[in-house]
Amino acid sequence: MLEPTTAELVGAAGAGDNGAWNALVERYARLVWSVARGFALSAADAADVSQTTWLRLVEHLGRLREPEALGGWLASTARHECLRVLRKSGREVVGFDADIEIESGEPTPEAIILDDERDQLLWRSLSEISQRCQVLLRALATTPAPSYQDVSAALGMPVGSIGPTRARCLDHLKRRLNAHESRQGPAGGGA
Amino acid sequence: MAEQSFDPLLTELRSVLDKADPVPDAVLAAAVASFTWRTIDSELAELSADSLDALTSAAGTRAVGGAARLLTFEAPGVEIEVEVAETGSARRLTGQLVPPESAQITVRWASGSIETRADEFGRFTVEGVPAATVSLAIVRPAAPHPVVTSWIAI
Repeated sequence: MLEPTTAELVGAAGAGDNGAWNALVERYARLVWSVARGFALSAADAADVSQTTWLRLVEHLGRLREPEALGGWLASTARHECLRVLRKSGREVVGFDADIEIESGEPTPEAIILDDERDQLLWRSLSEISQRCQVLLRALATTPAPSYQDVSAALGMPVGSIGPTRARCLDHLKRRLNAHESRQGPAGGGA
Repeated sequence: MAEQSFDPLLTELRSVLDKADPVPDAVLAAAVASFTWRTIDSELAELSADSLDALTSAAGTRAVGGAARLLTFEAPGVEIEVEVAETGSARRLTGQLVPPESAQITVRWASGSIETRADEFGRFTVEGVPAATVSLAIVRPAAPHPVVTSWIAI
């Protein structure tokens, strides 16, 4: 059976179909979460951004101009909410446009639950690349894979620059990962 | 989309993120539960101005401390201006309906609500609102439909 399109789900949810709403949440919850966490919000702030974003969708179900582009609408709504949260707390997005890499000392607590060493290094490397790259790669890594339109909405960047930026961000991530791995020595080394 | 070529590192990252930073169950549950706030006979008053948005990033760090936040919501025929003040961990909302008229006001959030009235000059105050994502519902005696504001985290 064919999966319903996003536009069909938006239409059905707008008409009161609870199942269609749940399917939309299932399809896009990871994208919304990835945007909030990509902006380095705490889990609590990211939860607030997610809730605000979904409540906004409820009120806009019958008003979306392009229901098929819902992923982009959600990503853009989440991005705006993230920027509000950051402004409210007097924080800024450091080097968002300049791709400044982040010097992070402490590994994040989440690293504890990753028992694979390479996974841990990759997780740590992700926290050290620029904020923009973190949002972009987190968004691209969500399933189902978002369109470049969705990702461009998450970043507030033109669609045409997503491809080159993606390549550059993956390169930054690779370099951080390689640097960590060469410091740690070959896998299983030292035994 | 076709433009996404396969990259093994991205696949690896996907697996790491699924393990290290999945969407928490409570966040999914809140997203699912949002649907219960669907209203069918209300006019939406969209957020048209937020003093937070007006802050440039350069001025942001200076202007934030203590200053009240001003929100404006607009629906056809009515504007709702709300000042949000921090009172400890709670918020005080001071509002003004334009044009001024008396109305029943309900401040709603995921786990509760507070009701009050706007006086004949369209003024209202609500104390003790939690720092949460909220929306105001406004019932005006002469209006055919209630007005609800866009949800906003305060």
